[in-house]
Amino acid sequence: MGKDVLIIGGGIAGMEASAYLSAMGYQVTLVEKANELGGHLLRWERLFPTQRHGKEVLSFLHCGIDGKIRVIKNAEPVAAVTRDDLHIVTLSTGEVITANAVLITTGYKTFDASRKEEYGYGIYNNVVTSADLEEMFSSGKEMLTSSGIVPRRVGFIHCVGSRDEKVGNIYCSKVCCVTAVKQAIELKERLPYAEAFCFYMDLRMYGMHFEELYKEAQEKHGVQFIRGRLSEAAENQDHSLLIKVEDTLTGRPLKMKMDLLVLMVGFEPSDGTQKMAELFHLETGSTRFLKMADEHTSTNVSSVQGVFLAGTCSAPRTITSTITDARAAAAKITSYLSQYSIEQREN
Amino acid sequence: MSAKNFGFSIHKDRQIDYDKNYREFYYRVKAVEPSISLCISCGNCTATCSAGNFTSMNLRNVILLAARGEVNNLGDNVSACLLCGKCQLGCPRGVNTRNVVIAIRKELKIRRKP
Amino acid sequence: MNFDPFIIPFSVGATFLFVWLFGKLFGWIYTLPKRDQKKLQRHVFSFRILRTFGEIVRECLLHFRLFRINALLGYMHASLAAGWFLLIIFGTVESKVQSGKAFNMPYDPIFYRFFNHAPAHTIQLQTLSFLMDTFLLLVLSAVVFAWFKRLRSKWFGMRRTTRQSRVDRVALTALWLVFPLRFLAESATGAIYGNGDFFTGILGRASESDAVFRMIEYPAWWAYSISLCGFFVLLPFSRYMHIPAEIILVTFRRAGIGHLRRFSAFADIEVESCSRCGVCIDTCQLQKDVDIREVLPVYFLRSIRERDTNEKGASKCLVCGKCAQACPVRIDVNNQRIVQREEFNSNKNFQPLHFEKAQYSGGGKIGYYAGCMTHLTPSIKLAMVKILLAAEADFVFLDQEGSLCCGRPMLLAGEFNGAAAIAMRNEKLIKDCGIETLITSCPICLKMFSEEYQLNIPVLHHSQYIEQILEENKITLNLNRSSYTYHDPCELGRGLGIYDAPRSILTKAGKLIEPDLVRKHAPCCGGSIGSVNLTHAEKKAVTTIAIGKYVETHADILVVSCPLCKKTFVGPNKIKVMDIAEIVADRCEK
Ligand code: SF4
Ligand code: SF4
Ligand code: SF4
Ligand code: SF4
Ligand code: SF4
Repeated sequence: MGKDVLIIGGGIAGMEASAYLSAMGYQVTLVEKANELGGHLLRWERLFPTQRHGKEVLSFLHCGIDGKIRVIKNAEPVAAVTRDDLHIVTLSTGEVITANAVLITTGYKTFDASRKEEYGYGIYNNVVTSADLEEMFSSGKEMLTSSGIVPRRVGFIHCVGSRDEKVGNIYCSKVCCVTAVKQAIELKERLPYAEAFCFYMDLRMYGMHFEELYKEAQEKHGVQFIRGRLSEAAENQDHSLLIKVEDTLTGRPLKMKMDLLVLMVGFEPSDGTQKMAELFHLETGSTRFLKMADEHTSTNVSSVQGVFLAGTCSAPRTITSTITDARAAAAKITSYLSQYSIEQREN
Repeated sequence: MSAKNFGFSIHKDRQIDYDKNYREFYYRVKAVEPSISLCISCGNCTATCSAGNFTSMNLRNVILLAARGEVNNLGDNVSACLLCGKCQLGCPRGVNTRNVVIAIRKELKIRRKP
Repeated sequence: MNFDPFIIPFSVGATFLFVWLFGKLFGWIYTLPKRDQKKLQRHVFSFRILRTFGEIVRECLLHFRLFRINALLGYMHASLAAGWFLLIIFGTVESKVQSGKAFNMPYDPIFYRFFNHAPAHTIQLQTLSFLMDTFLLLVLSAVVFAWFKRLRSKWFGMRRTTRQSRVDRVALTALWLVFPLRFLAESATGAIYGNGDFFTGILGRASESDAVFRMIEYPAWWAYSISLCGFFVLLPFSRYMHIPAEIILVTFRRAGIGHLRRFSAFADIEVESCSRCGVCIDTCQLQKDVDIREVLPVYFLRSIRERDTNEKGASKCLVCGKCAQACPVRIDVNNQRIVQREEFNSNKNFQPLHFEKAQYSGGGKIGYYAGCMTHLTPSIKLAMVKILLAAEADFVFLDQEGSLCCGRPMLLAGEFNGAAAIAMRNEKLIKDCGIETLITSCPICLKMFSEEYQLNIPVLHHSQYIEQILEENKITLNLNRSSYTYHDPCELGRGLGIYDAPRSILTKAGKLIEPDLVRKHAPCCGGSIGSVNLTHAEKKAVTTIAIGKYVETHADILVVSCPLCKKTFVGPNKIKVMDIAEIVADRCEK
């Protein structure tokens, strides 16, 4: 044993994989760009489908690694070479790390909503993204619009930056439908008198308990669901918004005044993920996420030997699936480093 | 059809008779503009439609009806389209909406010929 | 009278050609609308015809525009055209001087050496004979170049060259044979009688014995005559029809005749004027980026000429006008395209229904018309409102509640009746607002307003208006350190020639870094409404390649002045994209 594993990206996947790999006896080094571990989890107040606090999950992840592995914060790889199955990676701090295996867990970033100009993000003050709303929730402040009123009507727009050829992202981001439902419920909990509308193309409630959450939103909170994709938003004199969608189920165009518009921004490969693709010469798929060697049997394997993938650098995932994926990656790396005979199987 | 009373009745005209409908129509349009098959009925086009401001033009519905072979009421709808292309800018599936309209108009015209 | 049976092929060919050409010309003039016939008449009998002659000499003989594109290409065409023309002129003079008669047979100059064995005895004849050899040499050099072009088209500034049709290839062979055969025939005669000049005498001087020359002389003259006949007979059916057609095209164009909203005599002349030089090939992004060749004018016009218009060529084209700006014959390919689309339009009488409800708001001197596309790029319209307010303009936002389409998209799709109906309605709506100046953010609308509407008020693109108020100091810009690169939208640049206004604004706002291809050479963004059925994937490929050049400038912001360009370039997410109005609104100070 005593082999070295370098994990790049200290988010959910990076942390959980570190925990498992160090438990299995490897020397793990976790490199994180920011000065805190946790990645996107730091920004999510509550998690679907159970509404538990993001912090709880974070402290669970910390338990697995604190004091057990080496964490290098405020650093990122700037160069990488391979020599005889060894990966030699130079960090921005100048340190050089040699590892027998590298795990990429650089994750995703949220879609830049200002690219959907017709939705008015960055133009109209009362258009926010799902991430912004989460911050509003966790700030603990009173929910107000930019004009200082309590919103009476809030619209959640699904699939912003996902399932959209026009911004080059054809894939579904998987989490935003259920996030919209989760946020609509939270909103209603805070502002029982506000109306909440979800504008969706398809409601993808595929996970365990997701449908229940959807049902709860209808039953308990009176969240309304309108099947139609937002085409454009305009600002009224009073800074409320006028939105245009087609209510496709009644078959007629619909205009509606909104006090707050929440854009459910989708996943894109993070800048770090794109950079690692370049640095390690990893193939990316048509979606620009890192390519898995096989969609069924080698989901944690990249196109380069000894470099592995976990979490949302390879596809949009929920937190649950990210954690599962990190553990799977740990198992895969162990198998690779121990040269188990199952490694001989063909894909 | 027998006049047996099952306790409910479906008005014949209300029913989409998928077997009898002119579904060939859709395939003919599709041959000219294959992207018609990419539509996911999101309604973006209808909501943004320039003609929709003044008329009942509903491109999403037009595409759907064409796909079902329900061609009888398409004419009025598509004849309002100004080919402005606004719908095409928004369509998340990259449907070539303008040419869908042109192709449908053409097919309708051919069909009307004795 | 000089006569030998071998003149017969030539005479038959030449007669056929003349009859054909006059028939064509008559047909064209006959089908012109009365108004255009009058224009032509007035032009031909005025002094302006002299300038037309000038252009004919410059372009049909000397090929100035081709020279500007590539010197070798220009030389090849000019030496062939001008050389041959001079051979005919001076040959005629030579034969007249020699015979001393004002009239002789039309074929005399062609076969002059065969009938006149005596060496040139006067100084005039010696000069003429020297000139004739020079011209022949010139023409032959062109033929050599033409051969060479097949092998090394890059030297002629062309990455791809035209794929010739069968008639073209036969006609080409005939043409390429004419001059070497003439050289051979004249050299043989020259060798036998010792009357060749510095060039046609070469063979005679090189060899002692006459026997060979006696053997080949007569067949060579026959072959020469037959190749001429072949060329003449094929000319009307091959690309060489462009030689006479271009002369007529120049004349018609100078007389002020242009395209109609149907396939007219003018369109036909343009089609016949395409020399299939292939200069347009390398300019077209559809050819380069997605390998769609049917749209290329060289093939598209050929398909029209063969009365078998290529439907894909008609519909896929972006109508970006890049090919047209390169065309040395100045063929108005964009109008050719939409006229052909009209031919495919199955519903010629179609008029869109029920748009009477559209309404605009009035009440201001300046009317701002965002246009449909601009409603999908709200930053642009908000920026314009901010600028108009800063300039304290007395303005009204005409289509704040939504626009009726200007009609141009329909026009571009070849639906002329529908376009006219919308335009008429929209024109009335705008007129009813009682404004004195119209400003629009959409180059597509602007093109339509300026060319198809009779608004009788100044119509400006917002970049022109901003330039104007900057000059009048109604607003000022605070310069910052941003660097900009600018994309010329097709309709604004090539379409309307508005290149300077945006640039003058940008140099006032920051640093302007120009990419390789600017102004009339600028690429199309790929989002053009001009294409009827380009697929999303094809457009995306064009856009991605086009944006690359701007990214390479390392400018902070790619500035556009068209909502459609903006939406299109935002797609690939490679560089920040802003409209010129946004740049100004961000930096404008009262
Ligand atoms: S999860 Fe829902 S909102 Fe998100 S991209 Fe998929 S369908 Fe759209
Ligand atoms: S092109 Fe036709 S269907 Fe599309 S937005 Fe314009 S008018 Fe509506
Ligand atoms: S916008 Fe596109 S996908 Fe949506 S309904 Fe219209 S054509 Fe279909
Ligand atoms: S269209 Fe113009 S550039 Fe193109 S081949 Fe013809 S003459 Fe040459
Ligand atoms: S107009 Fe543009 S797209 Fe069309 S043939 Fe010319 S260069 Fe190509």
